[in-house]
Amino acid sequence: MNRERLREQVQAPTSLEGAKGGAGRHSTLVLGAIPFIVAFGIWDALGWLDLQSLRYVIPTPESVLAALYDDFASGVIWRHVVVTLEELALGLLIAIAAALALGVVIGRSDRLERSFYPIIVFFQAVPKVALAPLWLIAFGFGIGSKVALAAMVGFFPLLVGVIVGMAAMRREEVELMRSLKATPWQIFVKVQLPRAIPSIFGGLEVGALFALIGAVVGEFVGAQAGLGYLIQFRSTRLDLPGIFSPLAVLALIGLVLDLGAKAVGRRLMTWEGE
Amino acid sequence: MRAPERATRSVGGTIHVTGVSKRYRDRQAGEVLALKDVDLSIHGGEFLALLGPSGCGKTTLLRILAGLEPASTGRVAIDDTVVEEPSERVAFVFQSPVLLPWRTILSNVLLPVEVRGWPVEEWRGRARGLLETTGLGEFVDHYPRQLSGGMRQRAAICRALLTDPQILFMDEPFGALDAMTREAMNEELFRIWRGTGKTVVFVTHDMAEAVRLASRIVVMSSRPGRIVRVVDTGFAPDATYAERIDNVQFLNKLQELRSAFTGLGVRTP
Repeated sequence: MNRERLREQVQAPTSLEGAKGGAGRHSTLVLGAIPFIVAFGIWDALGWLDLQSLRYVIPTPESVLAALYDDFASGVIWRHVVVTLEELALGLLIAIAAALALGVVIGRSDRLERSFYPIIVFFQAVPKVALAPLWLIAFGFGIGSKVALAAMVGFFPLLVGVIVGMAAMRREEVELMRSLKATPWQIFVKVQLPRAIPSIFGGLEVGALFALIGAVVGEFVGAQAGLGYLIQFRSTRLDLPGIFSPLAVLALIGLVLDLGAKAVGRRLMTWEGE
Repeated sequence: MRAPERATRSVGGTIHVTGVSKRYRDRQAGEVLALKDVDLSIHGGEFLALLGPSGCGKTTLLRILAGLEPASTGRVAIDDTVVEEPSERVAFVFQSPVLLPWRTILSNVLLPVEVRGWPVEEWRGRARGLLETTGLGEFVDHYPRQLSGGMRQRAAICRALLTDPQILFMDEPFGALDAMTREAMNEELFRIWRGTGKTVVFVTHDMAEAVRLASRIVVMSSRPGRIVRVVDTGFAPDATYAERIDNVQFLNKLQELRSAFTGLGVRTP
Protein backbone atom coordinates (compact mmCIF):
# COMPACT_ATOMS: atom_id res chain seq x y z
CA MET A 1 0.00 0.00 0.00
CA ASN A 2 1.05 3.57 -0.67
CA ARG A 3 3.26 4.91 2.12
CA GLU A 4 2.11 8.51 1.75
CA ARG A 5 -1.52 7.53 2.07
CA LEU A 6 -0.75 5.56 5.22
CA ARG A 7 1.04 8.51 6.68
CA GLU A 8 -1.92 10.80 6.04
CA GLN A 9 -4.30 8.39 7.67
CA VAL A 10 -2.10 8.19 10.71
CA GLN A 11 -1.41 11.83 11.16
CA ALA A 12 -4.91 13.15 10.78
CA PRO A 13 -6.09 12.13 14.28
CA THR A 14 -2.87 13.20 16.02
CA SER A 15 -2.95 16.71 14.65
CA LEU A 16 -6.57 17.11 15.73
CA GLU A 17 -5.62 16.11 19.24
CA GLY A 18 -2.83 18.64 19.28
CA ALA A 19 -5.24 21.43 18.46
CA LYS A 20 -7.54 20.36 21.28
CA GLY A 21 -4.71 20.27 23.81
CA GLY A 22 -3.42 23.72 22.95
CA ALA A 23 -5.97 26.51 22.62
CA GLY A 24 -8.73 24.35 24.15
CA ARG A 25 -7.16 23.99 27.56
CA HIS A 26 -6.51 27.69 27.90
CA SER A 27 -10.04 28.72 27.15
CA THR A 28 -11.31 26.03 29.56
CA LEU A 29 -9.33 27.69 32.35
CA VAL A 30 -10.71 31.13 31.47
CA LEU A 31 -14.26 29.79 31.12
CA GLY A 32 -13.98 28.04 34.46
CA ALA A 33 -12.75 31.19 36.20
CA ILE A 34 -15.61 33.44 35.08
CA PRO A 35 -18.31 32.03 37.42
CA PHE A 36 -15.89 32.35 40.34
CA ILE A 37 -15.31 36.01 39.58
CA VAL A 38 -19.04 36.69 39.18
CA ALA A 39 -19.85 34.89 42.45
CA PHE A 40 -17.15 36.80 44.25
CA GLY A 41 -18.57 40.06 42.87
CA ILE A 42 -22.07 39.27 44.13
CA TRP A 43 -20.68 38.26 47.49
CA ASP A 44 -18.76 41.53 47.72
CA ALA A 45 -21.86 43.50 46.68
CA LEU A 46 -23.85 41.88 49.51
CA GLY A 47 -21.30 43.30 51.92
CA TRP A 48 -21.68 46.79 50.50
CA LEU A 49 -25.47 46.60 50.73
CA ASP A 50 -25.07 45.69 54.41
CA LEU A 51 -28.45 43.97 54.69
CA GLN A 52 -29.67 43.56 58.25
CA SER A 53 -30.80 39.99 57.71
CA LEU A 54 -27.46 38.86 56.32
CA ARG A 55 -25.12 40.59 58.73
CA TYR A 56 -24.82 37.52 60.99
CA VAL A 57 -24.95 34.91 58.21
CA ILE A 58 -22.50 36.01 55.54
CA PRO A 59 -19.23 37.74 56.37
CA THR A 60 -17.68 40.19 53.92
CA PRO A 61 -14.99 38.88 51.54
CA GLU A 62 -12.47 41.21 53.15
CA SER A 63 -13.05 39.78 56.62
CA VAL A 64 -12.75 36.21 55.34
CA LEU A 65 -9.51 37.00 53.53
CA ALA A 66 -8.25 38.63 56.71
CA ALA A 67 -9.20 35.53 58.74
CA LEU A 68 -7.46 33.29 56.21
CA TYR A 69 -4.37 35.47 56.40
CA ASP A 70 -4.39 35.36 60.20
CA ASP A 71 -4.88 31.59 60.26
CA PHE A 72 -1.93 30.96 57.99
CA ALA A 73 0.33 33.75 59.32
CA SER A 74 -0.07 32.52 62.88
CA GLY A 75 0.13 28.90 61.73
CA VAL A 76 -2.99 28.02 63.76
CA ILE A 77 -4.70 26.28 60.84
CA TRP A 78 -1.88 23.96 59.81
CA ARG A 79 -2.41 21.48 62.62
CA HIS A 80 -6.04 21.15 61.57
CA VAL A 81 -5.25 20.85 57.87
CA VAL A 82 -2.81 18.04 58.62
CA VAL A 83 -5.31 16.17 60.79
CA THR A 84 -8.09 16.39 58.21
CA LEU A 85 -5.78 15.35 55.39
CA GLU A 86 -4.57 12.42 57.47
CA GLU A 87 -8.14 11.25 58.12
CA LEU A 88 -8.97 11.70 54.45
CA ALA A 89 -5.89 9.83 53.19
CA LEU A 90 -6.29 6.90 55.57
CA GLY A 91 -10.04 6.70 55.01
CA LEU A 92 -9.66 6.84 51.26
CA LEU A 93 -6.92 4.20 51.26
CA ILE A 94 -9.10 1.83 53.24
CA ALA A 95 -12.06 2.57 50.97
CA ILE A 96 -10.00 1.94 47.82
CA ALA A 97 -8.49 -1.29 49.12
CA ALA A 98 -11.85 -2.62 50.32
CA ALA A 99 -13.70 -1.56 47.17
CA LEU A 100 -11.08 -3.17 44.91
CA ALA A 101 -11.01 -6.40 46.87
CA LEU A 102 -14.77 -6.76 47.15
CA GLY A 103 -15.58 -5.25 43.74
CA VAL A 104 -13.23 -7.56 41.86
CA VAL A 105 -14.67 -10.62 43.56
CA ILE A 106 -18.28 -9.55 42.99
CA GLY A 107 -17.65 -8.17 39.50
CA ARG A 108 -16.05 -11.35 38.25
CA SER A 109 -19.22 -13.34 38.63
CA ASP A 110 -22.51 -12.38 37.09
CA ARG A 111 -24.39 -14.33 39.75
CA LEU A 112 -22.58 -12.67 42.65
CA GLU A 113 -23.19 -9.29 41.09
CA ARG A 114 -26.90 -9.89 40.83
CA SER A 115 -27.14 -11.21 44.37
CA PHE A 116 -25.09 -8.38 45.89
CA TYR A 117 -26.68 -5.55 43.95
CA PRO A 118 -29.74 -5.03 46.21
CA ILE A 119 -27.71 -4.91 49.42
CA ILE A 120 -25.24 -2.46 47.88
CA VAL A 121 -28.09 -0.19 46.83
CA PHE A 122 -29.57 -0.57 50.31
CA PHE A 123 -26.38 0.52 52.04
CA GLN A 124 -25.86 3.28 49.56
CA ALA A 125 -29.28 4.65 50.43
CA VAL A 126 -28.52 4.68 54.15
CA PRO A 127 -27.33 8.19 55.08
CA LYS A 128 -24.02 6.97 56.43
CA VAL A 129 -23.06 10.28 58.01
CA ALA A 130 -25.97 9.68 60.36
CA LEU A 131 -23.89 6.88 61.83
CA ALA A 132 -21.23 9.38 62.95
CA PRO A 133 -22.26 9.28 66.63
CA LEU A 134 -22.06 5.49 66.57
CA TRP A 135 -18.58 5.56 65.10
CA LEU A 136 -17.58 8.04 67.77
CA ILE A 137 -18.57 5.53 70.44
CA ALA A 138 -16.84 2.69 68.61
CA PHE A 139 -13.59 4.40 67.62
CA GLY A 140 -13.27 7.30 70.05
CA PHE A 141 -12.63 11.03 69.88
CA GLY A 142 -9.33 10.63 68.07
CA ILE A 143 -8.66 10.22 64.40
CA GLY A 144 -10.09 6.66 64.28
CA SER A 145 -13.78 7.52 64.15
CA LYS A 146 -13.21 10.05 61.35
CA VAL A 147 -11.12 7.62 59.32
CA ALA A 148 -13.88 5.04 59.70
CA LEU A 149 -16.56 7.46 58.56
CA ALA A 150 -14.48 8.76 55.64
CA ALA A 151 -13.76 5.18 54.55
CA MET A 152 -17.39 4.13 54.83
CA VAL A 153 -18.77 7.12 52.92
CA GLY A 154 -16.08 6.94 50.23
CA PHE A 155 -16.38 3.16 49.86
CA PHE A 156 -19.71 2.83 48.07
CA PRO A 157 -19.14 5.00 45.00
CA LEU A 158 -15.78 3.28 44.61
CA LEU A 159 -17.33 -0.18 44.94
CA VAL A 160 -19.93 0.61 42.29
CA GLY A 161 -17.16 1.95 40.04
CA VAL A 162 -15.14 -1.25 40.40
CA ILE A 163 -18.13 -3.56 39.81
CA VAL A 164 -19.27 -1.63 36.74
CA GLY A 165 -15.67 -1.60 35.52
CA MET A 166 -15.36 -5.37 35.86
CA ALA A 167 -18.38 -5.74 33.60
CA ALA A 168 -16.85 -3.45 30.97
CA MET A 169 -14.62 -6.21 29.64
CA ARG A 170 -14.96 -7.04 25.97
CA ARG A 171 -15.90 -10.54 24.91
CA GLU A 172 -13.61 -10.49 21.89
CA GLU A 173 -10.62 -9.52 24.02
CA VAL A 174 -11.26 -12.41 26.37
CA GLU A 175 -11.60 -14.69 23.33
CA LEU A 176 -8.26 -13.48 22.02
CA MET A 177 -6.64 -14.23 25.36
CA ARG A 178 -8.28 -17.65 25.44
CA SER A 179 -6.98 -18.42 21.95
CA LEU A 180 -3.51 -17.65 23.32
CA LYS A 181 -4.08 -20.04 26.22
CA ALA A 182 -3.95 -17.24 28.77
CA THR A 183 -4.61 -18.09 32.41
CA PRO A 184 -7.61 -16.51 34.17
CA TRP A 185 -5.17 -14.29 36.08
CA GLN A 186 -3.58 -13.10 32.82
CA ILE A 187 -7.00 -12.37 31.36
CA PHE A 188 -7.84 -10.37 34.47
CA VAL A 189 -4.61 -8.34 34.53
CA LYS A 190 -4.09 -7.83 30.81
CA VAL A 191 -7.60 -7.09 29.55
CA GLN A 192 -10.22 -6.91 32.28
CA LEU A 193 -8.44 -4.52 34.63
CA PRO A 194 -7.40 -2.03 31.94
CA ARG A 195 -11.00 -1.92 30.68
CA ALA A 196 -12.16 -1.28 34.27
CA ILE A 197 -9.87 1.72 34.81
CA PRO A 198 -12.21 4.43 33.45
CA SER A 199 -15.05 3.32 35.66
CA ILE A 200 -12.81 2.83 38.72
CA PHE A 201 -11.55 6.39 38.34
CA GLY A 202 -15.10 7.64 37.93
CA GLY A 203 -15.79 6.01 41.29
CA LEU A 204 -12.64 7.51 42.75
CA GLU A 205 -13.61 11.06 41.76
CA VAL A 206 -16.89 10.74 43.65
CA GLY A 207 -15.49 8.58 46.46
CA ALA A 208 -12.66 11.00 47.28
CA LEU A 209 -15.06 13.92 47.71
CA PHE A 210 -17.44 11.75 49.73
CA ALA A 211 -14.58 10.69 52.01
CA LEU A 212 -13.76 14.34 52.64
CA ILE A 213 -17.36 14.97 53.65
CA GLY A 214 -17.20 11.92 55.92
CA ALA A 215 -14.07 13.19 57.66
CA VAL A 216 -15.54 16.66 58.24
CA VAL A 217 -18.85 15.36 59.55
CA GLY A 218 -16.92 13.05 61.87
CA GLU A 219 -15.10 16.07 63.21
CA PHE A 220 -18.35 17.96 63.72
CA VAL A 221 -19.67 15.23 65.96
CA GLY A 222 -16.72 15.04 68.27
CA ALA A 223 -13.07 15.85 67.79
CA GLN A 224 -10.10 17.73 69.16
CA ALA A 225 -8.61 18.82 65.85
CA GLY A 226 -9.34 19.09 62.13
CA LEU A 227 -10.90 21.65 59.84
CA GLY A 228 -14.41 20.43 60.70
CA TYR A 229 -13.59 20.76 64.39
CA LEU A 230 -12.32 24.30 63.77
CA ILE A 231 -15.56 25.29 62.01
CA GLN A 232 -17.61 23.78 64.82
CA PHE A 233 -15.52 25.48 67.52
CA ARG A 234 -15.68 28.90 65.87
CA SER A 235 -19.40 28.68 65.21
CA THR A 236 -20.04 28.44 68.96
CA ARG A 237 -18.32 31.84 69.16
CA LEU A 238 -20.23 33.27 66.20
CA ASP A 239 -16.89 33.92 64.51
CA LEU A 240 -18.24 34.15 60.96
CA PRO A 241 -15.00 34.96 59.05
CA GLY A 242 -13.29 32.31 61.20
CA ILE A 243 -15.77 29.69 59.94
CA PHE A 244 -15.33 30.65 56.32
CA SER A 245 -11.55 30.41 56.44
CA PRO A 246 -11.32 26.61 57.05
CA LEU A 247 -14.30 26.22 54.71
CA ALA A 248 -12.28 27.81 51.92
CA VAL A 249 -9.38 25.48 52.68
CA LEU A 250 -11.75 22.48 52.54
CA ALA A 251 -13.11 23.62 49.19
CA LEU A 252 -9.56 23.88 47.89
CA ILE A 253 -8.75 20.35 49.11
CA GLY A 254 -11.86 19.08 47.34
CA LEU A 255 -10.93 20.84 44.13
CA VAL A 256 -7.39 19.44 44.20
CA LEU A 257 -8.75 15.93 44.89
CA ASP A 258 -11.14 16.11 41.98
CA LEU A 259 -8.63 17.52 39.52
CA GLY A 260 -5.98 15.10 40.76
CA ALA A 261 -8.16 12.03 40.25
CA LYS A 262 -9.13 13.31 36.79
CA ALA A 263 -5.52 13.99 35.82
CA VAL A 264 -4.26 10.58 36.93
CA GLY A 265 -7.22 8.93 35.22
CA ARG A 266 -6.57 10.78 31.98
CA ARG A 267 -2.93 9.75 32.10
CA LEU A 268 -3.88 6.10 32.40
CA MET A 269 -6.60 6.30 29.77
CA THR A 270 -4.97 8.04 26.83
CA TRP A 271 -6.47 5.27 24.75
CA GLU A 272 -10.08 5.98 25.71
CA GLY A 273 -12.57 6.80 23.00
CA GLU A 274 -10.62 4.77 20.48
CA MET B 1 11.30 -22.94 24.50
CA ARG B 2 11.32 -22.12 20.81
CA ALA B 3 13.95 -19.85 19.38
CA PRO B 4 12.67 -16.90 17.34
CA GLU B 5 14.96 -17.90 14.45
CA ARG B 6 13.06 -21.12 13.90
CA ALA B 7 12.59 -22.11 10.28
CA THR B 8 9.63 -20.30 8.76
CA ARG B 9 8.48 -23.11 6.48
CA SER B 10 6.22 -25.35 8.51
CA VAL B 11 5.55 -28.98 7.96
CA GLY B 12 2.53 -30.87 9.22
CA GLY B 13 -0.62 -28.99 10.12
CA THR B 14 -3.05 -31.60 8.82
CA ILE B 15 -6.56 -31.38 10.27
CA HIS B 16 -9.02 -34.27 10.39
CA VAL B 17 -12.65 -33.60 11.17
CA THR B 18 -14.87 -36.63 11.70
CA GLY B 19 -18.60 -36.56 12.35
CA VAL B 20 -18.64 -33.17 14.04
CA SER B 21 -22.04 -31.83 15.08
CA LYS B 22 -22.83 -28.88 17.27
CA ARG B 23 -26.09 -28.16 18.96
CA TYR B 24 -26.78 -25.45 21.46
CA ARG B 25 -29.72 -24.08 23.37
CA ASP B 26 -31.20 -20.80 22.28
CA ARG B 27 -33.66 -18.93 24.45
CA GLN B 28 -36.05 -18.23 21.59
CA ALA B 29 -35.45 -21.03 19.10
CA GLY B 30 -34.91 -23.80 21.64
CA GLU B 31 -32.48 -26.47 20.52
CA VAL B 32 -30.52 -25.40 17.45
CA LEU B 33 -28.44 -27.73 15.32
CA ALA B 34 -25.62 -25.45 14.18
CA LEU B 35 -23.51 -28.13 12.53
CA LYS B 36 -24.48 -31.55 11.30
CA ASP B 37 -22.14 -34.47 10.58
CA VAL B 38 -19.18 -32.55 9.25
CA ASP B 39 -16.42 -34.71 7.79
CA LEU B 40 -13.43 -32.93 6.37
CA SER B 41 -9.71 -33.40 5.85
CA ILE B 42 -7.49 -30.36 5.52
CA HIS B 43 -4.01 -31.04 4.19
CA GLY B 44 -0.91 -29.53 5.70
CA GLY B 45 0.01 -26.31 3.89
CA GLU B 46 -3.37 -26.02 2.23
CA PHE B 47 -5.36 -22.80 1.94
CA LEU B 48 -8.92 -23.84 2.59
CA ALA B 49 -11.91 -21.49 2.46
CA LEU B 50 -15.13 -22.16 4.35
CA LEU B 51 -17.77 -20.43 2.29
CA GLY B 52 -21.46 -20.02 2.99
CA PRO B 53 -24.30 -17.66 3.83
CA SER B 54 -24.42 -16.10 7.26
CA GLY B 55 -25.71 -18.47 9.90
CA CYS B 56 -24.45 -21.60 8.15
CA GLY B 57 -22.17 -22.49 11.04
CA LYS B 58 -18.88 -21.79 9.28
CA THR B 59 -17.61 -19.65 12.15
CA THR B 60 -18.76 -22.28 14.64
CA LEU B 61 -16.86 -24.93 12.72
CA LEU B 62 -13.74 -22.76 12.70
CA ARG B 63 -14.00 -22.18 16.45
CA ILE B 64 -14.32 -25.90 17.04
CA LEU B 65 -11.25 -26.55 14.87
CA ALA B 66 -9.32 -23.98 16.89
CA GLY B 67 -10.42 -25.48 20.21
CA LEU B 68 -12.30 -22.33 21.23
CA GLU B 69 -15.48 -24.30 21.75
CA PRO B 70 -16.20 -28.01 22.01
CA ALA B 71 -18.11 -30.06 19.45
CA SER B 72 -21.28 -31.79 20.68
CA THR B 73 -20.30 -34.97 18.88
CA GLY B 74 -17.46 -36.06 16.67
CA ARG B 75 -13.77 -35.29 16.86
CA VAL B 76 -11.16 -32.93 15.50
CA ALA B 77 -7.50 -33.89 15.33
CA ILE B 78 -4.50 -31.88 14.24
CA ASP B 79 -1.64 -34.18 13.17
CA ASP B 80 -3.22 -37.01 15.18
CA THR B 81 -3.58 -34.94 18.34
CA VAL B 82 -7.20 -34.49 19.39
CA VAL B 83 -8.17 -30.83 19.74
CA GLU B 84 -9.63 -30.05 23.14
CA GLU B 85 -8.37 -26.55 23.80
CA PRO B 86 -6.48 -23.82 21.95
CA SER B 87 -3.01 -24.99 21.00
CA GLU B 88 0.27 -23.12 20.70
CA ARG B 89 0.63 -24.49 17.20
CA VAL B 90 -2.34 -22.57 15.88
CA ALA B 91 -3.27 -18.91 15.76
CA PHE B 92 -6.67 -17.29 15.37
CA VAL B 93 -7.43 -14.10 13.49
CA PHE B 94 -10.81 -12.64 14.41
CA GLN B 95 -13.32 -10.63 12.42
CA SER B 96 -12.16 -7.46 14.14
CA PRO B 97 -8.46 -6.88 14.82
CA VAL B 98 -8.92 -6.96 18.63
CA LEU B 99 -5.85 -4.86 19.33
CA LEU B 100 -5.65 -3.70 22.93
CA PRO B 101 -5.99 0.11 22.70
CA TRP B 102 -3.67 0.79 25.65
CA ARG B 103 -0.77 -1.00 24.00
CA THR B 104 1.38 0.15 21.11
CA ILE B 105 1.28 -1.81 17.87
CA LEU B 106 4.58 -3.52 18.72
CA SER B 107 3.44 -4.44 22.19
CA ASN B 108 0.18 -5.79 20.77
CA VAL B 109 2.07 -7.98 18.33
CA LEU B 110 4.23 -9.29 21.20
CA LEU B 111 1.20 -10.23 23.31
CA PRO B 112 1.24 -13.98 22.47
CA VAL B 113 4.87 -14.27 23.57
CA GLU B 114 4.15 -12.33 26.74
CA VAL B 115 1.15 -14.50 27.58
CA ARG B 116 3.22 -17.66 27.11
CA GLY B 117 5.90 -16.34 29.40
CA TRP B 118 8.59 -16.44 26.74
CA PRO B 119 11.35 -13.79 26.85
CA VAL B 120 9.78 -10.78 25.12
CA GLU B 121 13.14 -9.12 24.45
CA GLU B 122 14.23 -11.98 22.21
CA TRP B 123 11.10 -11.72 20.11
CA ARG B 124 11.12 -7.96 19.63
CA GLY B 125 13.31 -8.19 16.54
CA ARG B 126 11.04 -10.71 14.82
CA ALA B 127 7.96 -8.64 15.68
CA ARG B 128 9.53 -5.53 14.17
CA GLY B 129 10.55 -7.53 11.12
CA LEU B 130 7.00 -8.80 10.56
CA LEU B 131 5.56 -5.30 10.93
CA GLU B 132 8.22 -4.04 8.53
CA THR B 133 7.30 -6.55 5.83
CA THR B 134 3.61 -5.65 6.10
CA GLY B 135 4.36 -1.95 5.73
CA LEU B 136 3.83 -1.06 9.37
CA GLY B 137 7.50 -0.51 10.18
CA GLU B 138 7.01 3.17 10.89
CA PHE B 139 4.06 2.58 13.16
CA VAL B 140 5.45 0.19 15.75
CA ASP B 141 5.15 2.80 18.51
CA HIS B 142 1.75 4.09 17.42
CA TYR B 143 -1.46 3.17 19.19
CA PRO B 144 -4.20 1.21 17.41
CA ARG B 145 -6.57 4.20 17.27
CA GLN B 146 -4.01 6.05 15.16
CA LEU B 147 -4.19 3.40 12.43
CA SER B 148 -6.75 2.71 9.71
CA GLY B 149 -8.87 -0.44 9.76
CA GLY B 150 -6.72 -2.20 7.19
CA MET B 151 -3.52 -1.40 9.06
CA ARG B 152 -5.01 -2.68 12.30
CA GLN B 153 -6.02 -5.97 10.75
CA ARG B 154 -2.54 -6.24 9.29
CA ALA B 155 -1.08 -5.80 12.77
CA ALA B 156 -3.45 -8.50 14.02
CA ILE B 157 -2.12 -10.84 11.34
CA CYS B 158 1.45 -10.04 12.42
CA ARG B 159 0.43 -10.94 15.97
CA ALA B 160 -0.90 -14.27 14.73
CA LEU B 161 2.26 -14.97 12.70
CA LEU B 162 4.70 -13.97 15.45
CA THR B 163 5.15 -17.38 17.05
CA ASP B 164 5.17 -19.08 13.65
CA PRO B 165 2.12 -21.29 14.13
CA GLN B 166 1.57 -24.19 11.76
CA ILE B 167 -2.06 -23.33 11.24
CA LEU B 168 -3.83 -19.99 10.83
CA PHE B 169 -7.55 -19.87 11.52
CA MET B 170 -9.12 -16.75 10.06
CA ASP B 171 -12.72 -15.75 10.71
CA GLU B 172 -13.75 -13.30 7.97
CA PRO B 173 -10.70 -11.22 8.81
CA PHE B 174 -11.33 -8.67 6.05
CA GLY B 175 -15.12 -8.52 6.34
CA ALA B 176 -15.12 -5.05 7.87
CA LEU B 177 -12.78 -3.49 5.31
CA ASP B 178 -13.73 -1.55 2.19
CA ALA B 179 -13.51 -3.45 -1.09
CA MET B 180 -10.21 -1.93 -2.21
CA THR B 181 -8.39 -2.44 1.06
CA ARG B 182 -9.82 -5.91 1.14
CA GLU B 183 -8.30 -6.86 -2.22
CA ALA B 184 -4.95 -5.44 -1.16
CA MET B 185 -5.13 -7.51 2.04
CA ASN B 186 -6.09 -10.61 0.01
CA GLU B 187 -2.99 -10.20 -2.07
CA GLU B 188 -0.84 -9.74 1.00
CA LEU B 189 -2.27 -12.77 2.77
CA PHE B 190 -1.77 -14.84 -0.36
CA ARG B 191 1.87 -13.75 -0.44
CA ILE B 192 2.33 -14.65 3.24
CA TRP B 193 0.74 -18.04 2.75
CA ARG B 194 2.95 -18.67 -0.29
CA GLY B 195 6.06 -17.66 1.60
CA THR B 196 5.43 -19.72 4.72
CA GLY B 197 3.52 -22.78 3.59
CA LYS B 198 1.21 -22.62 6.58
CA THR B 199 -2.16 -24.31 6.67
CA VAL B 200 -4.80 -21.59 6.44
CA VAL B 201 -8.49 -22.13 7.19
CA PHE B 202 -10.33 -19.03 6.08
CA VAL B 203 -14.00 -18.28 6.72
CA THR B 204 -15.72 -15.94 4.29
CA HIS B 205 -19.07 -15.26 2.68
CA ASP B 206 -17.43 -13.58 -0.29
CA MET B 207 -17.20 -15.98 -3.23
CA ALA B 208 -14.63 -13.92 -5.14
CA GLU B 209 -12.42 -13.72 -2.06
CA ALA B 210 -12.60 -17.48 -1.68
CA VAL B 211 -11.64 -18.08 -5.32
CA ARG B 212 -8.82 -15.51 -5.17
CA LEU B 213 -7.18 -17.17 -2.19
CA ALA B 214 -8.07 -20.79 -1.63
CA SER B 215 -6.83 -24.06 -3.04
CA ARG B 216 -10.10 -25.69 -2.03
CA ILE B 217 -13.43 -24.15 -1.15
CA VAL B 218 -15.83 -25.90 1.19
CA VAL B 219 -19.37 -24.78 0.43
CA MET B 220 -21.72 -24.89 3.41
CA SER B 221 -25.46 -24.52 3.71
CA SER B 222 -27.46 -23.42 6.69
CA ARG B 223 -29.98 -24.94 9.09
CA PRO B 224 -28.42 -27.28 9.89
CA GLY B 225 -24.93 -26.20 8.87
CA ARG B 226 -23.39 -28.89 6.72
CA ILE B 227 -20.91 -29.32 3.90
CA VAL B 228 -22.71 -29.55 0.58
CA ARG B 229 -19.80 -29.40 -1.79
CA VAL B 230 -16.06 -29.11 -1.97
CA VAL B 231 -14.74 -27.14 -4.95
CA ASP B 232 -11.15 -27.42 -6.08
CA THR B 233 -10.04 -24.08 -7.53
CA GLY B 234 -7.56 -25.96 -9.70
CA PHE B 235 -5.02 -23.19 -10.27
CA ALA B 236 -1.46 -24.21 -11.04
CA PRO B 237 0.36 -24.62 -7.72
CA ASP B 238 2.83 -21.88 -8.58
CA ALA B 239 0.28 -19.43 -10.05
CA THR B 240 0.83 -15.94 -8.70
CA TYR B 241 -1.96 -13.85 -7.26
CA ALA B 242 -2.08 -11.73 -10.42
CA GLU B 243 -2.29 -14.82 -12.59
CA ARG B 244 -5.08 -16.23 -10.47
CA ILE B 245 -7.35 -13.22 -10.69
CA ASP B 246 -6.63 -12.44 -14.35
CA ASN B 247 -7.87 -15.73 -15.64
CA VAL B 248 -10.89 -17.26 -17.29
CA GLN B 249 -10.66 -19.99 -14.68
CA PHE B 250 -11.30 -17.43 -11.96
CA LEU B 251 -14.59 -16.44 -13.58
CA ASN B 252 -15.52 -20.06 -14.25
CA LYS B 253 -14.99 -21.01 -10.61
CA LEU B 254 -16.99 -18.01 -9.50
CA GLN B 255 -19.80 -19.10 -11.79
CA GLU B 256 -19.59 -22.65 -10.46
CA LEU B 257 -19.93 -21.40 -6.89
CA ARG B 258 -22.78 -19.15 -7.86
CA SER B 259 -24.77 -22.00 -9.37
CA ALA B 260 -23.96 -24.15 -6.35
CA PHE B 261 -25.57 -21.55 -4.10
CA THR B 262 -28.48 -21.03 -6.45
CA GLY B 263 -29.05 -24.77 -6.27
CA LEU B 264 -29.23 -24.41 -2.49
CA GLY B 265 -31.83 -21.69 -2.78
CA VAL B 266 -29.43 -18.97 -1.68
CA ARG B 267 -29.78 -15.84 -3.76
CA THR B 268 -26.52 -14.50 -5.16
CA PRO B 269 -25.89 -11.09 -6.66
